[in-house]
Amino acid sequence: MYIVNCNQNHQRKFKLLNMKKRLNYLINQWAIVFLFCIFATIGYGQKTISGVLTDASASPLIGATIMVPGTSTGTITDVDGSFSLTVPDDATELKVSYTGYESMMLDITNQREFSSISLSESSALLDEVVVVGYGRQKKSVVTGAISKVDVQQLATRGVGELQSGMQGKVAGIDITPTSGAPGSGFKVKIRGTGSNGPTEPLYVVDGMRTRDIRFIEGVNIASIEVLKDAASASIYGAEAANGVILITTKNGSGNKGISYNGSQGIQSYRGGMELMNTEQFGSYLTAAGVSDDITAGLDTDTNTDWLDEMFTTAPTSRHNISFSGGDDNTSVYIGAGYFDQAGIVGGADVSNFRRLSANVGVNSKVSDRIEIGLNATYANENEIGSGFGDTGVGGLIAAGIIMDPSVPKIYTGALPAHVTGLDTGGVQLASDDDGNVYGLSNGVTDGEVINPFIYLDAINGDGQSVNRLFGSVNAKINLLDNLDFTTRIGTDLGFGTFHNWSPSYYANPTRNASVASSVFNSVNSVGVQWENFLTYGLALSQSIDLDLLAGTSAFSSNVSGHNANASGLISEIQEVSYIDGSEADSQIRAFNSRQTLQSYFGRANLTISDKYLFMASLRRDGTSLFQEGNRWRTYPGVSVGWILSREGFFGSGGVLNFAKLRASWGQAGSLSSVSPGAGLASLNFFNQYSGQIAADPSSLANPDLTWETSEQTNVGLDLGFFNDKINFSVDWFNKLTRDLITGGSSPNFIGNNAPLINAGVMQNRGLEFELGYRNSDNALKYQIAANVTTLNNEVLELTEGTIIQGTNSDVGVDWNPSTFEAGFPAWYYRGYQTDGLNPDGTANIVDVSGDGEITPDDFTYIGDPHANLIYGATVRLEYKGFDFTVFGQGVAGNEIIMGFNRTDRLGNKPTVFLEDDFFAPAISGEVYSSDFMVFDGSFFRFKQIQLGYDAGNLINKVDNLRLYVSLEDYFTITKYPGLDPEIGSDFDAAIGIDRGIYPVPGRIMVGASLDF
Amino acid sequence: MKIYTKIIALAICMVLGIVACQDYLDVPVNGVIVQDSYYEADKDVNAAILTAYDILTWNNVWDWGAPVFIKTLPSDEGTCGGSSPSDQAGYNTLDDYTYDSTNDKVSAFWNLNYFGVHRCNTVLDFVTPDTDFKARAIGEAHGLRAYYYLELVSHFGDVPLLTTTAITPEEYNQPRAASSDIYAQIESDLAAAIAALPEKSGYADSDKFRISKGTALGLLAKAQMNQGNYSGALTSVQTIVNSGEYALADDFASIFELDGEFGSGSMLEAVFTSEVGHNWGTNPWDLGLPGSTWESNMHIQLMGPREGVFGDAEDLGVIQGWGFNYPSPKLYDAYIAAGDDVRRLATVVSEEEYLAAGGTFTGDAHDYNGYIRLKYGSKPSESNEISIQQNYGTNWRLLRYADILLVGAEAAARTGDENTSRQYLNMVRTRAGLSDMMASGNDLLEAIINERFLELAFEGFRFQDMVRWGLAGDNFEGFEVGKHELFPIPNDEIARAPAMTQNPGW
Repeated sequence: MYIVNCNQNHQRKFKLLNMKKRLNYLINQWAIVFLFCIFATIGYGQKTISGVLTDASASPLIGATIMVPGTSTGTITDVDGSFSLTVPDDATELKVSYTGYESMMLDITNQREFSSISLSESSALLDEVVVVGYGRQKKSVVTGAISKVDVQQLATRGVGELQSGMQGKVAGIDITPTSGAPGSGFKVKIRGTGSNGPTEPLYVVDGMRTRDIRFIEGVNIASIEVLKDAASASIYGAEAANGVILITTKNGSGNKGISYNGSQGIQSYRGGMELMNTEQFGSYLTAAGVSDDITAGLDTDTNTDWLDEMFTTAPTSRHNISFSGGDDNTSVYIGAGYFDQAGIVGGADVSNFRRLSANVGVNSKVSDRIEIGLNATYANENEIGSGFGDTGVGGLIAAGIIMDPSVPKIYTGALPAHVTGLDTGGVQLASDDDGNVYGLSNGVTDGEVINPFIYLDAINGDGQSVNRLFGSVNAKINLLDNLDFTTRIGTDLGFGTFHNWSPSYYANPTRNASVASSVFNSVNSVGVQWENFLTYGLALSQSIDLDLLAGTSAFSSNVSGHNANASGLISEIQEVSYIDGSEADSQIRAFNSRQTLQSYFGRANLTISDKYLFMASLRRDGTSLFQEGNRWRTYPGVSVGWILSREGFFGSGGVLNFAKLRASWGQAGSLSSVSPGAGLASLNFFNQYSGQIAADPSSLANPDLTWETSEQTNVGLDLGFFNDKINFSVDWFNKLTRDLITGGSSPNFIGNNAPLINAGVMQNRGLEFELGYRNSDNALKYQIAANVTTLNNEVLELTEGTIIQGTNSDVGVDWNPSTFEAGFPAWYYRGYQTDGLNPDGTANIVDVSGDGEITPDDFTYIGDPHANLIYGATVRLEYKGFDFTVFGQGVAGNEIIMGFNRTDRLGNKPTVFLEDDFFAPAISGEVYSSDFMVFDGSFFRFKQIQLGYDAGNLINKVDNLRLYVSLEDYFTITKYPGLDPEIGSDFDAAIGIDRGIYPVPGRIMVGASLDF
Repeated sequence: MKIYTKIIALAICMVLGIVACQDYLDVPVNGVIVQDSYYEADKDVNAAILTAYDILTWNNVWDWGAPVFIKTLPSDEGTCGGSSPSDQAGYNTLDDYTYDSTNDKVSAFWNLNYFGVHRCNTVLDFVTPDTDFKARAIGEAHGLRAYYYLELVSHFGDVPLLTTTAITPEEYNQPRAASSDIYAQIESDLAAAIAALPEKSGYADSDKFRISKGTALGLLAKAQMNQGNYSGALTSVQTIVNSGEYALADDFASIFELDGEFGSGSMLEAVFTSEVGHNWGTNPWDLGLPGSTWESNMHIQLMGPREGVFGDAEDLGVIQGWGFNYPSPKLYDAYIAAGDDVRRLATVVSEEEYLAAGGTFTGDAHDYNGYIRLKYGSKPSESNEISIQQNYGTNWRLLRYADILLVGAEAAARTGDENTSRQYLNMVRTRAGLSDMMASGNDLLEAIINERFLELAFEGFRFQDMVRWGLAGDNFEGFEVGKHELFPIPNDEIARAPAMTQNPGW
């Protein structure tokens, strides 16, 4: 075998050599005829010029352009700053240019090798390279609104998701955890709530699209860019309406080395909410006029602080190890990671997230013209207690808040009479590991008033397990000197299961189950993307550069799986909870859903005299989700920039060293509220009648259903002061989302659910400011970054007379405050308006309709869930090996509904309900459906306070050692009297609805990083 | 060289999309069956007609809203109950006459009937009668559509008339059709049903839930009665009686229990099940959710004596529920006055009787006036041991022979045929163990009115009857003549279809 292989290799090499020659010839042939090559010429003789390009400090300049003036012959420098270019014999000079630097002419009459060409900066810095759609650009010539996220601290966060570390880092992006439970996700909104449906941005990781980035370890991130304006995002047209986040993972470098990063932390509940004690609860109930039987049932000798009982301290840890290395042609990065976070509710057995991951990044030049790369990550995730997020009313945390404080967690002595006398339908009462029965309320037995430990008892099983394989391979072929062809195939594979079983239980007369039940679900998702594109750089003249991009993309997604549930488990043990069919009742449902997206895209960037910048892009997308005739849509984007500071009149040496004006306009689409079959008059078969299958018409048809489109105008100004020690950017944007896909509003007498329709326009307007200041001139080095965003959201149009109530945003049985209506912010709160208190302590509800009665007709605007100010700041100081970072984030102007105060339940409440001048106790649906439940949601949270010490090569064989300690999410400034002002939800419409949020834990972390 | 030409050509082609598949976007929509290609096989048509029946059991789809309870509440048979006036406020305000055009139960009632109409229209639009089964299904669809429209027209008056599913968004804004047009449609639908459908005896046991010729005739009699066409109503009732298809079941109490399902006097029932074994997690609270399966009758649980206040009365076979729908003293007294023990003991017990049967009562219950309902009672024997609360299988009896006989009695009395009237009336009385009624003239009508009160309590007819007789204003506290005869058109409907108008007084 070996010999055969050897021979084959040998032959192949031989062939390759011949082919290379042929290729050169061929390329020249092609060069004559090729579409873009209007300036191509071929000389009779040729010579090769090579060299290395550096800046003043001898650092290589990557991607600089080397051109034969007046021709299309040219190249760009590689990662080492080196280049090699074959030019006609009679060429006498080369133009060397690099944006942000002074161009120079290189005399090649006699010299062919240039060991070091140094370019001087035309303006000062701002030479940061940013990743843009299908390419890279120097920040100084970017004409859209693109923010680069500071990824420095990502690796040290004690939370498993990247988004946690992105909070407050850039202007215009609002990131909220859906809950503080381990593994729960984040809602990311770029420039406001851009849709009445999902508002998540599109993530593009190393060129491959995805909707979920939980699998990525922060330490593996090379860069994160946020494409905020439509002109930047519209190159990803189809799904870019809510912005695009580009993530680049590490690819390794020439320096061989192994790094370790690890941290350990302790988490705890850091909120200040106090609940009424038994005495207060009793007087509250009495004052509220509740029947004596109930108040008499309170055990005044017992005082349980259910928050104290529920919340515990919990560990979190992270370990990452990576190898980076390579040679001149190949670079490799291999990483492995472990992350484990337990929940502060119930401990690791019932609330935990753990991830094991491995990733690899390889880039190799296999020949002068061919470069191949691979970026792939495998992650194994396990999440227990995934039901702890905002699952609607009746969640665990809410149960703990409203639970009767006169009930002990467990009965240690004899059981009280109301427990021994219970008819539980034969169910054994739940008890702790020592056999102590969990407490049950005597009188407060409304549905969701449940001892949280009985609730926790129901959480058993494997939880959610996900195996994820994400990655892409790409090949870049240099077809002509400036013409590159890239092909990239990416896959996003996810295989998950969810398993939970709960024993028979008795919590109260309405919450109980006489048999054990089980859920076992699986989901397989397969996303495949194939993209091909050509990039071509062209110097039209000495001062005019043109970069062209043209490509295609095809994406297909297939999600399949099953949901199974069973009740009546043969035995109440985990081993029989995987649903083998022996249960009294089991149900299974399977699904298989496909969709495809096909795209063509192109872009031209024109730079004149390094001062005048123009960009135009076009993307045409087709989707399988719509019916023929409505499948295709074209998304344009244009932007212009003017670097004023490069004008002669600007002068040099002033305080202001850089100034650029930008303006852009573009359109992008969204498909996230559309699923396969939307708009079709279809049937479902979930119902039965008289034991036989019934074919329910699921909705009326709308064959005209089409894309939701957002259109955005952006104007920005970038300034650099004191040789770029201070950078300042301001952007104004106006984003209009049209053709919102809404549930339609047919009258019910049509007799069926309305189809999805395109109706409505929403506007998000705002200003973004980013300020950066760095000074590393002295021993004390410091760096300050701050950003501020103002936001104004309004639904401009919606089908007349339509008021959409949010899905899964209800508060109790009788009130769903989240409302979508023209003339108001999206999902504003609608309820009773109050005007002070009556003498009897009840609230005075305003009769808005003026009909003399208080009915839901009087519901009106009572609050705005959107922050109108979002800000963040990072301060970093370094002094002699010590570093100190403070990073915080805040919002202002938003309001929260304290929804765990149920309109329809007796239950405990925060002590603020007893305080003077706040609220006279009264149990009335009107009061709990009113602005009394609306609170100022402003807060500022110190996300991270970190002190680090760089011990250098203190330890033998360790090149670099850094130790740090940090406090995360530890201090919060807020007036909100609930558990946590950072109210998130998985449900898009439930913004700011606090139905008993799992609070974000505070964390004390210690960590170390070592480089070998 | 050839290879490289190909590579570069391919590269360019890929970029320019020449290789892109034309049909890349044509992917199957898995798991979705589109209406246009469905209604072919008999079994598919069966699923289509079953979905039209299924609406009869949609009692907690638009919040809680059971037509039988909604129709009972404004009457003097009983009160709403629950924990407080704000517990199911929509039900409570119907009872208290404080409801308005935003009442969620009124909306649910409206919605249910129109969803039923739409599903019947689906069968009528899509199904071709090329088999006997399909022809029968079309007959059922006509009959059911008449049932739903009869509910609508008698409670809302003029309503939009839709007889096809082919509605585009531009056509959503429908005006109300005159009630005479609705009745004309009902009568024409029933004529089609009567022509197409078998008698009840022509159905297999498993198909007894379907509309039969007799059901259609019964609905026709009621529609005729509502329009004052007494001779027509009498003819319809006589046709039913003469068919010999129906007889009054001997035991009145068991008519409303599992044992009495589809008994000899049953003409239409809404079919619930105790067999599925629902629990809190699997109960089909919302329509169209996976695993919805076949519904149990949650209103039986809702309408059991209030838990925590009442203890189970084992001798009566009744256990606690959520405390809705307590009988009025007036109803109890009416049985006592009539000496009607058979139906009283199957319908209502006093607190003393409840306690004597082993029940307990402590504290107080909202809207409770000393009487507990047994008809449609929360009896464990009607449910499933897996979770009694979740699995009451009690069917709603939507049309009974006794009701039709009393319709016939009234129609006969109003057309002067008092012999026939007394004959029908006394058939009902005999089954209740009462002596024959010999009254005539207005006394006869009064007797029929009282008989309907006793026979049909809590079945959802009293309110409509009293409105029809012009007696509602004198008997129902809070009833405003000229307003409460009809329910308000739901506000949302007018908002979505501005061509609609509101009923007088609302």
